[in-house]
Amino acid sequence: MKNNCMRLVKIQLSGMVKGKEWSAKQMLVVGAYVLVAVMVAAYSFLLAYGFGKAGMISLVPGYGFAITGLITVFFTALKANGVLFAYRDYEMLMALPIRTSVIITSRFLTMYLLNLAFTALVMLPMGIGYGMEAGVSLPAAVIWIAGMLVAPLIPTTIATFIGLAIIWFSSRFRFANAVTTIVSFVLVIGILAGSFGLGQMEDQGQLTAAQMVNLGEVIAEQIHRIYPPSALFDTAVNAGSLWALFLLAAISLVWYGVFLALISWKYRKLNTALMTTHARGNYQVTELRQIRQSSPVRAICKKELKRFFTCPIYTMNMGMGVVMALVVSAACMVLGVEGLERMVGMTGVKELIAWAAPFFVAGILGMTCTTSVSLSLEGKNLWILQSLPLAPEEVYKGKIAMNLVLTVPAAVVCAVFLAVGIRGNAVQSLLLFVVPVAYCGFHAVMGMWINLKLPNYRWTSETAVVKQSMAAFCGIFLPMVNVAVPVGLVVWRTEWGSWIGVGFGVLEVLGMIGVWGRVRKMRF
Amino acid sequence: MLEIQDFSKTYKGGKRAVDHLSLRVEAGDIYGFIGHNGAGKSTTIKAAAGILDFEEGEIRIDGKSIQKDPLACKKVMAYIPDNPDLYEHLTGIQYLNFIGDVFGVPAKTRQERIQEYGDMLEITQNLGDSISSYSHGMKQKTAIISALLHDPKLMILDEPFVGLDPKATVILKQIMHQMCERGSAIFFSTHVLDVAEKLCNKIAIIKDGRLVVAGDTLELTRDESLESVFMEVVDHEK
Repeated sequence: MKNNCMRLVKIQLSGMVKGKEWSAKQMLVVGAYVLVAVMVAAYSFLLAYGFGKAGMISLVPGYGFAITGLITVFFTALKANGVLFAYRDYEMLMALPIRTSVIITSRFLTMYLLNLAFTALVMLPMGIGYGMEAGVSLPAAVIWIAGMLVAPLIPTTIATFIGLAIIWFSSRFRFANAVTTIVSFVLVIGILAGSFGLGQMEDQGQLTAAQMVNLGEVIAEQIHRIYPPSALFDTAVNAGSLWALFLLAAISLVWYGVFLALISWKYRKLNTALMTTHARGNYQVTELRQIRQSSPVRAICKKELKRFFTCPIYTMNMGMGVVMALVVSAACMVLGVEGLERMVGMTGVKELIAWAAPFFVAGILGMTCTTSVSLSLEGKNLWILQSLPLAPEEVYKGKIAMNLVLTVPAAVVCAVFLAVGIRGNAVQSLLLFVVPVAYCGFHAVMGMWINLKLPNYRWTSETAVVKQSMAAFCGIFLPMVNVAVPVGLVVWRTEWGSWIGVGFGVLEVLGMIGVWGRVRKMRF
Repeated sequence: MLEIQDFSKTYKGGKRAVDHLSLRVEAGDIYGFIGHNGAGKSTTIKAAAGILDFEEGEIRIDGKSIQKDPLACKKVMAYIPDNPDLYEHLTGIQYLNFIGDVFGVPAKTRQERIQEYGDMLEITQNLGDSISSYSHGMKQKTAIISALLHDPKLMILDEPFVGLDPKATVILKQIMHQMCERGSAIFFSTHVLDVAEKLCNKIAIIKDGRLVVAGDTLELTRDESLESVFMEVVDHEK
């Protein structure tokens, strides 16, 4: 059993690495990931160091344990479908003489190892920071590392249960993918809203004097309340309690055992429910009369929209920008400028908010950069576009059009919300409409360029493209970087707001034309 | 209709998949392209379909170069791969409409052809279902219908009969004959010699990337079966 399990894990992990052509471009991508990892590690170390300097070093173990746990739950929950359930080689594996529990364990182990890598990236530097401030001792170091190894167990299982619950619920509906997407969005927005609410203290953000004195305890209590296992890790490290560590390990392993038993019991039934699609077989010939002809670009756009809305992981990851922009804009409309000023803890910043708002919305909308992954998502279907009489330019136009169909109407709606909420002058209100639309155009074309430079057609799960590819990363984060300069300028010189708005709006349009000139000559 | 001149393809790592291959498919031909696994059939077919880039040789479709004028070539051609990975997120009819839109097939013509071929291949009632629910054979049938929508002058198929039920196989052969009677040409690869012998008026045999024999089926199989010819030629080449 152990051999089969390890074999399966090895195959899954090697599938993430092998088959990639290690060109200079790929090395650059790897380099970027390494840079991000270094930044996360540095941030974690500095956080621990900062806690130490503030006299709250005892918070570090529980904080590190909790934060990695919560992030693991958040990111793993939306990956359960395609990793543990309804994955491509499910049928092949289930036909082999390998126990179901071994298959589940191997899939879970793969997720666990990936989550462990992230956990180590945060907790190891934190541990070093802790050791430097609290003093290094071998038992504490051993406890820290042991705790780090069990840390991903509980959150990974919780995330799997959440993911399973979502997809089990959705599979009961005809349009299962749409239901999965809606439920996932509701969950994400709920978590974000909840975490935002948690950050607000009861009495309008003011701590009492007693709370200030015991700030460390207050924070520790909150952390333990949000994620109870962190209390055990706190005790294990701070008090050097092996019993606390053993209890934590025991709870984690028992919890995992319960998870494995439950999932194994219904694994085949669950996967069958998830992987079988509704087929009615009752298409009527009379429906053929409803066929309408479209242009090739429009046909590609329609196909892309269908792709987007029928793939929950695609919709969730790439649609988040539009959803967040609408939610944030609606919140601004409800709160008004006064409410926004209270939130940021400043007064008299209406002008700053009014000039910066178009860029904020543009940056958030820019996260919906479907063009950065749409070519890669062709995957095994690429032969269709390659064999059809389609100029590459037509393909790109169709994919860009699809992105604009999502972002431009959202930009207009956000502008209306913000115009009502901010009640700026005529120029400010006009820029609320014009600037985000200009940025939408640029980001859509830029995304296309990114995907042409960083394609990935050899994937077995959309997750690899939409969540884990460098193209997706660039597509989501470059728009935010793109708006950082004008926002910075507005903060520095608010009185130049109109010039900044107009100037950067024009720049984006020129940039869009320039990048399109390059994109249309590229081949996929 | 299809002219392959001195075509060669070498993949990264130095593997020479096809070596100086030349052949000609005329209008009205059903041309069988035969070879063992890994012989270079799919490489040749993909290059002719405009999917695979190549550096040596020339491939012309209806007189136009597939490399210099790919759009013009693809407008008169249809390609069906051995494993048709279709858009699983679309229904059958949505996929056919997509193909019809790309080829600019008028709506009425599209309706007629979808109904005609859908009824022949007995898949009309499934066209409203998602392609993800289709079996391999159903996907194959959908791909065949999509290839016929624009009445191509040249149809290039890679192992077209794999996965088709017996009735659909007979229907596909009938369709091929009808197309050729109208002046179109069919070029398909197979390693099922029986099919090639009965269906094709011309065949070519490829071995380890090189063309070992090409010509009229009747002339090549004058006194013996295609299977014997194949084994003789292939063994002789050893």
